[in-house]
Formats: sequence, structure tokens, C-alpha cells
Amino acid sequence: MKRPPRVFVCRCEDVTKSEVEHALALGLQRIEEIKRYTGLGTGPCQGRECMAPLVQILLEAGQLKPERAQPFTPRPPLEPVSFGTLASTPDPADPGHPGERDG
Amino acid sequence: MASDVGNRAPLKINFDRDHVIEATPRDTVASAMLRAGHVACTRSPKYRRVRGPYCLLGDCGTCQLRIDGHPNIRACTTIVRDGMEVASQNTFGPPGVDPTGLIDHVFSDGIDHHHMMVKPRILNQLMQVTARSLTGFGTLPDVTIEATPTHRQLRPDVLVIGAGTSGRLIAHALEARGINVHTYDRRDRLALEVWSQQPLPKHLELEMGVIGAYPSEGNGGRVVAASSPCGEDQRLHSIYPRHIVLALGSRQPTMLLPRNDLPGVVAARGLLHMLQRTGKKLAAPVVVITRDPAGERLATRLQEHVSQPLKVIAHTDVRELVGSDRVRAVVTATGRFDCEFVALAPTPAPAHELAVMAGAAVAFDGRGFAPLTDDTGRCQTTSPVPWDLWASGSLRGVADDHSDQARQLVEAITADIGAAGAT
Repeated sequence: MKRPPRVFVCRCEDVTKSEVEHALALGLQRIEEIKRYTGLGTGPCQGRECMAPLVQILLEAGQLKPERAQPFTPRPPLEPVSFGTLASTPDPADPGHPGERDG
Repeated sequence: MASDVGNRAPLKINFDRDHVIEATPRDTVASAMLRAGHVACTRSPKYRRVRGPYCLLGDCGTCQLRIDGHPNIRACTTIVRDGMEVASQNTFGPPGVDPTGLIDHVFSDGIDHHHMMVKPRILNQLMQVTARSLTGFGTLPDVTIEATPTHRQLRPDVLVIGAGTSGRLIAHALEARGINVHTYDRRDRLALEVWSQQPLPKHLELEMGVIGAYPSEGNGGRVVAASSPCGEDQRLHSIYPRHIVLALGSRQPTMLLPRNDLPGVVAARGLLHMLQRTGKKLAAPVVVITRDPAGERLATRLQEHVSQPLKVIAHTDVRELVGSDRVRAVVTATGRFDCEFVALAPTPAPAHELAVMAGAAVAFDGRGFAPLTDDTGRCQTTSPVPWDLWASGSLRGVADDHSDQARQLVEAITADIGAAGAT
């Protein structure tokens, strides 16, 4: 029998709707738990594309009350940045850092 | 239009060595590639399926390419330069003959990575090595960035993040009142000019994204903005604002449809802005899949930039998308609609990440997570923060006319700053 085509919730990390449903069947309920179990939202977009569809699945499954839903913790960097650029920030212990310019 | 680009000799970029793609100075790498029919640029980490650009607005994770020796550069926000060397990432051999693509067929039942090949240990170790070499993010850069990054500290009264419709209205109005405002946007000037006709604020940092907000860092809490990683001009700003206006807009989540990951499936809003930016009509056939009346209005706007009549389908009518290396058709109960692009018009979800990081309380509002605000746009916070937080525009769910909420927010901030100045 031909397999039904995949429906992707998280394209970054290849997490399908059936994998989320499997996690729900195991008793996981919260956004954070499902992220940890499936890897959803841990790719380059950090949940920008999959968070809303995931909440939709959880609400439809009756697993989540909308007023109790909270996103998983966003962490820096929110935009791509090079280590070299990050390293230009002055050492707080050294106020006379040469790269510093107040303005 | 202030940006006098276009109408010059065509630029050329090289894609995967063998393909020369013509572009104009108005193109991003993604727009030039999509127009030339190259919709795929990477393989997915687990099933090794071909992937391409989706959101076209710098949010999703699947247009990352190796550009001029730098890995993981977003094609959709990188402006073309003549002679650019662009290469796909995480692929082995040309598309279509990549042997790792077999994984998708072998594991058509899915991959349960918690239990796969756990025993015997030797098999587990082999699997780990293979999986690690297949996934991940390209390989290390083969060039070094010559430019010396510059660091600046700024202490504006108001930091506006995002110069889209509402952000620029607010920043412009506050500047007109003589308030010290600094505005950041990760996009370039041309992207902002096609976004809206409204004038841009005077103190505007372009092509700088806010990478984080640190409310509990000593001396007043810091917001950090940085230029994109492969440009010539590397900048890092530490900003210590009194007020932060979050005008972050909204994102284009995916729609849960069979084979929604195929290359050629793009966000309708991103496609519209891409076509507005390039000023070129799309010749290929397009199907638009909508969720709500706003999506239908988006389709109407998109039609002005697409030569052939668009086929607009409600998402509940879609049975599946069809294709293997790229999307070829949309199948509904009543028929099959051949196309080269599928434009998804989901309900936009608020861009809540930075708001949460800056201390705003958020709640699910039916679209996604939006900050909880009062009528003026002042945000509730989860803990004491060293700044006043305000949310505006589509982050707050304001759809078309942003001027009323912008005016209220400007009045409230002006009153706050006046009161602080009087004490």
C-alpha cells in the first residue's frame, strides 16, 4: 500500500504531523515537551515557521487550553551574526576598550 | 524612487559552478534563482528531501546557501553582486543523483530517532557518524572576513525595532516631536521602499537585525543589533533605550498540507514583496492556497505581478501537493491544477520572540503569540524590566490601517517622556 504523503510541521528539522501525533499519543502535551521530544523548532528558523501550526494541532487535539499556551523560550542570537562581530563588543571590565564609541 | 538601481547591464551569479544566472541589482540571490527555475538549494537533515526558499522574508530556515565561501547565508535577504559564487549546502552531488535522497524512500514510515539503531553499539556508533556528517550546517568558511567590526553604544529615548508600516509611522512622528529616536531594520533600503510609500525615519540603521535583548544586564539593560554576517561593513550596536517600540511584524507559518515542504512552495506574502522588489512579472503558473479573507486579498495583489491568471484555492479543499524535486501541481476534490509555484497565504503569526526576550508577556491570540497590551500599546511584562515596552502594528494584530494605533502610541510615549523630563 502506498504511504500517505508527509505533512511537515517543522521543515528545518524534518518533523512531520504524524511524529507530533506520536508524541501526543505518548502523553506529551506541552509545546516545550514536544519540542524536546521531536526536535521541532530547533533548526535555523527557531520555531518561526512551526510554532503556530503546532499550537493549532494541540488545540485541535484538545491537549492544550489556548489561555495556558506559552511559546518555548526564545534565545539569542535571533538573527545571524558572525563571531567576529560579536567579539567587537567591549569587555565590561575594560571601559577603555578601543572599539568603544559612545554616540 | 530613491534607489536608482536596475536598467543597467545584467549581473551574473554562478550557482553550483555550472549554472550562470542573470540578475539585476534589485535582485536578492533567492529572487534571481527562483526566476531562473532553481527552486532547490539544500537537503533536509533527516529524510534528505530537497528543500528551497519558503518565506522569502528572512524568517524560515531553508534558503541557506554557501555564498562567496561563507556558509549558511540566507539567499532571500542577500543582495546580488556581480560574479557571486553561490553553492547549495548539505548536498552530495547534483540534485536528483544525490544518493542520500534514498533515505526518504527507505524510511517512508518515518524515522524514530529515539529508538533507531540503538543496538548493537557498533551499528549505533556508525549511524551517529553518518548522521552527523549528513546533517548540520555546511562546512566552515574558506574565507576570512577582512573588515574590522565597529562597536557603538547608543542611548536613545526610544528604540524602534522594525521600519515596516507601523514602525516607521511611529518613528517618524516621534522624530517630528524632537524626541531622540533610533530605528533598526534588518532589511535594505529597497525592501523598505517597496514595503510602503510612507517616509522613512531619519535615524535609521538598515541591514541590522536585533539579535537579542538583555533586560537583566546591569546598567539599564541592553539591546544588541548586528549587521548580517558576510557584508563588508560589520557593525555591532549596544543600545540602552528608555522605551522600546516593538514593530516586529508577523511571520508566515507553514500550512499543514501533504508535501508542503516541496521546493517551489513559497509564502504568498514573501513572493509578493520579492516581485515588487525586482519589478519583474513572474511568468510561471502559480496556485495560491488561502486560509482567510486576508489571504484572498493578498492573492489579488499578487495577481498584478504574475502574468498568468492565478488559481486560488481554500486550504480546506486541498488534498495534496504533487511533485518530487519541486512542486508540480495541487490536487483538490475537483481536479488537478498544474503549477510551478504554490504560494501559501497562512494567517500571519506575530513575531513574538524578541518581545518575550525583552520581557513582554504574551498569550495565544488565535494567530500565534502576541504581547498583552493596553489600548495605547503599552506591554504587560513578566518581570520588572529597565525599559518601557510598547507593541505596534501586525505584532498586535493591527491589519490594514496602522495610523490610529500609531497616533495613540506616539501620544502615550510623548506624555511619558514629557513627564520624565519635568521631574
